Amino acid sequence: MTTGIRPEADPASPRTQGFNAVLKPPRLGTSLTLIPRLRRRRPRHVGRGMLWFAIIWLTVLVLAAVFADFIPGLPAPDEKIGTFAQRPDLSVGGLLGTDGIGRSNLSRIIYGARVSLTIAVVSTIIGLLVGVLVGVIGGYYRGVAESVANVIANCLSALPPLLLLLALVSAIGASLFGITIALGVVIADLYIRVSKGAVIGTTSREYVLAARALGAGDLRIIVKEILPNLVPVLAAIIPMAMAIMIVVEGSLSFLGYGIPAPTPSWGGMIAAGSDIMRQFPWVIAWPVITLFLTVLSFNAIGDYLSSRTDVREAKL
Amino acid sequence: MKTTLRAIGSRLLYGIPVLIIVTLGAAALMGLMPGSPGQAILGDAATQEQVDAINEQLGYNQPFIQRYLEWAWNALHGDFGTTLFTQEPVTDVLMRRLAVTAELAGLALFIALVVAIPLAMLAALRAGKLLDRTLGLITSALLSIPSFVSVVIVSLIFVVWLSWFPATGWVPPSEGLGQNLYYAFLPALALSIYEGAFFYRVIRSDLTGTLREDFILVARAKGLPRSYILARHAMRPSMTSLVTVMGLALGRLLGGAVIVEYFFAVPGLGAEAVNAVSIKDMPMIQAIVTVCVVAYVLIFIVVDLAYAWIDPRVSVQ
Amino acid sequence: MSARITTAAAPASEWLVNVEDLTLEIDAPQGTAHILRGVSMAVRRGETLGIVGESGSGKSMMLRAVLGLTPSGSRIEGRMSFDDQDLSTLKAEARRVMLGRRVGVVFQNPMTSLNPVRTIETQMGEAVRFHQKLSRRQARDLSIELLDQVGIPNAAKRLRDYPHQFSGGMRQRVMIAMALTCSPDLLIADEATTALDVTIQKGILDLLQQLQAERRMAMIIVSHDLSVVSGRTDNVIVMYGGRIVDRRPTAQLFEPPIHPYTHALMRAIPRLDMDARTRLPAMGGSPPSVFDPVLPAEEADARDRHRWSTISAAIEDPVELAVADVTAADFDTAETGTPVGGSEIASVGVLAAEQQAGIAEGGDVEVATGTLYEEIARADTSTEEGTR
Repeated sequence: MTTGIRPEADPASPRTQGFNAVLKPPRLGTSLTLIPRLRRRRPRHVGRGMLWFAIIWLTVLVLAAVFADFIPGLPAPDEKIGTFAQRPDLSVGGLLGTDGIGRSNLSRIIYGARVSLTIAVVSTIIGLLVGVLVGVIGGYYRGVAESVANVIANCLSALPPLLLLLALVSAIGASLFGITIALGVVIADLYIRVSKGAVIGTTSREYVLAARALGAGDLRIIVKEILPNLVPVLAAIIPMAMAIMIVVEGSLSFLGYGIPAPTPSWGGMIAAGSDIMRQFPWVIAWPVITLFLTVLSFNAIGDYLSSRTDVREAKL
Repeated sequence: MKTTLRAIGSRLLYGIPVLIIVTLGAAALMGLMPGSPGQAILGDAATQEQVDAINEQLGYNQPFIQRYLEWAWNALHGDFGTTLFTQEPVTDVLMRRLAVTAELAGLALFIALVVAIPLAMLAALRAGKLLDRTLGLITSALLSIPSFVSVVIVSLIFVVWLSWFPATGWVPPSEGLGQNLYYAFLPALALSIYEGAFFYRVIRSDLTGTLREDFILVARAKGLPRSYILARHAMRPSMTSLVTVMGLALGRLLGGAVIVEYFFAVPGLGAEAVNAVSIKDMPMIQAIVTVCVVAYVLIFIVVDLAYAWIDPRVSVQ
Repeated sequence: MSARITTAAAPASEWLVNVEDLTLEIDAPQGTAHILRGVSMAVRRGETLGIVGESGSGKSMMLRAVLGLTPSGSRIEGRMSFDDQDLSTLKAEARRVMLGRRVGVVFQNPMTSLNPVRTIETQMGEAVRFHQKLSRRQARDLSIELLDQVGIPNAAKRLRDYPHQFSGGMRQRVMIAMALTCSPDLLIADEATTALDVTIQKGILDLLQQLQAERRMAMIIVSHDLSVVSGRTDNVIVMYGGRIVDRRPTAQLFEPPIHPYTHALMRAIPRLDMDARTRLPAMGGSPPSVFDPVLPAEEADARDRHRWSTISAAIEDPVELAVADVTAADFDTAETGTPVGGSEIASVGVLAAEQQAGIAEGGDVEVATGTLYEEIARADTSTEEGTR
């Protein structure tokens, strides 16, 4: 069946058909990938269940803290409703028993949540603002700005955080304001490093170079190109940082530098309870459990987000 | 060798501005705090004249900068002054306390490493299987336990229930190593809980990544035994994260063991720092701050050098 | 007549590697991946086998299954034997260790195949020190000798270097030397030249051939590139979608009836004399997915044939495949199906027609000389002249 047509001219000839490589270029790199079509599953420590638990727990906690005043039957945190370290009973106030002075544990935990959560959120915001600002400027402009950012970050991290906090709190005063500022300063170091690293990684990419070449102003580039890339990185870090904030605030209260009595705080409750924990374990058990679950939840959410945004676990 | 020395030198140089800023900052902070040394020493019962006299004697009324420069000058000659608290030379107290904290930190790191590394290796070998997942959950939980809670729990288990170890106290090694370890074990254990979990996570994560690399397949194709591959091929590249994490942990432990020292009545640096801050013991605070910064810079240098040693592709610059 | 797995008492057969009906499955989130679907093949001692196929066709996995290097969680069925020893009688670790000594493998990517934090000396020596208990000095001497053989200058000094101090081509030579340290009976080059510059490819391939001849090893060359395999191998296996679809002595690879897939692979190779704007032919559709259920051979062939046929606008008669029940012994008797005759030229599709047209216009044979198409051109020409 000779067609008599010259191959090059024949539009139906394979030679003139569209070009798709018959043979896909082989994957370079790790040839250990199972086969090209199996998705490699990223190992996650946080299963679905854990994530849901974390979300539910935190929601309940926040709601309870915000609407504490409206919970029916809940006594005030400094109200004496019973005798010394009563066992838990079935009344709302006595659900978790009483502490060393006879106050409702449940109430104190809920009101303590206010303190912990407020501090965690506000200090995170402060830390974010300061840290991201310094980090982005340093990472974007490099040179002197970067050195300055480095020095600031190093100064903040050279000191053990607790000591720095103690000093700051002593200077500023152990009020809500003082503690949040102090915590914000301490955590800013983390944000500076993370955002500086992310910005440096992004600025070297081509689309930023392209935007610059097009004459886009720096501010525009930062807002439109760099910040969006920063968001996933931060999203993974923020819950973890909040967990740290809660723990550190607890440590401060434990040492006696936290919000002064009678405002309840988890750390303070744990400190007080540790004295009598041998005979009355439930007094210390509840704040410990609550604190643990809260921190666990934040960590779980942070873990989940970081595995979703491909941030390596070992990165700090 | 030359480049290494130069690298060390440049990093040390780099640490100087940090040191200056931090000590200045500390001094400034102290200045912000209410009260004066005179008040702290003499207490509330003293009269104003007595307080002023002490303050005059201590040079407290001089301008801030002058005080700072005097301190800095003395410090460079190794004289950190005397602590306001007990009138001892700061250097003596510092050394004593530092030794204690260092021992605690060392023990804690040791325990953490001894537990974390083998477990991480086991888990990485069986990534995704039961052991790995269980350990992952456990370490997540452990990482969520603040130190002041872990001291309570450790105490509960080993002191209250088992009565194996003493509740508080400290015996220096000079008075008997056995006794020393007896008192040191619980605080070290409490410290190692967090660090161990952290080490485990980082090492395991790095190991599983390394085990997916091609050269591991090559080693398996050579018919080398699994244990050999794990120890001699997989661990090496993962050492960089281990070193990083150890450096961070050491930094954390040296100054941050505050809660543990406080709870177990260990006479370490952290406890001293809390004390110093509460009575505004300036010389002590400045000395501790200096120690912390110097330690930080030194750890930083050692870690960088370790990177270059582990991974030949990294050059010390 | 399939090769039987003999016991130790019986005389050694000529088959070094014998694989029968091998199936490999892995469970993935999307379902069960059937990576190998009943493949059978064999390698004689001292012979060179070429395995050709697209990425994902299963060629590497087949070898890995034999060597015991498949990912964890994979299920293997079928019989495999090495040097007349039934591999299923060995536990996984023991098997891997045994084969590690007797089979040398050179992998695809020289940039990632060496541990970056260990010296060449350690990595070259570790296998032979473990398997044959050589001392450090002995291993070192052996390594130097091998590195010399593969063409690494200044071998003694280079031993103390790290992988990143070698170029890609040099690293692959190091890999080859490393694979030979235990004097293996079989050398596998798994896409060994794919990641290398074309100019370096030839050198590496020549080296492999030379070494094989010197040591009388068997060799398996795996590639997606037909040109790598032809001319350097005794027999060829073509894999597609986890199955072996064509097997024959290499010399007969391009003899009609050409297998349509082989044909397609051939046509994808650009010729130097082609017009720069020539579009290489492509197959429409997409390759079979590993998650497709396993079909009996005839159905699978029919489905695949349809895809292969899209390479030509019009295909006259489908090519008759060799009978599906191919085994090791078939390499002796290369069954090529229908005899070649004048009218059968059309059965290989438009290529032959084009060639004919080209020849008719004159010049194709000369043009084709020295390229892969030479055989086809000659065959077509002689057919045209009726000498077959």
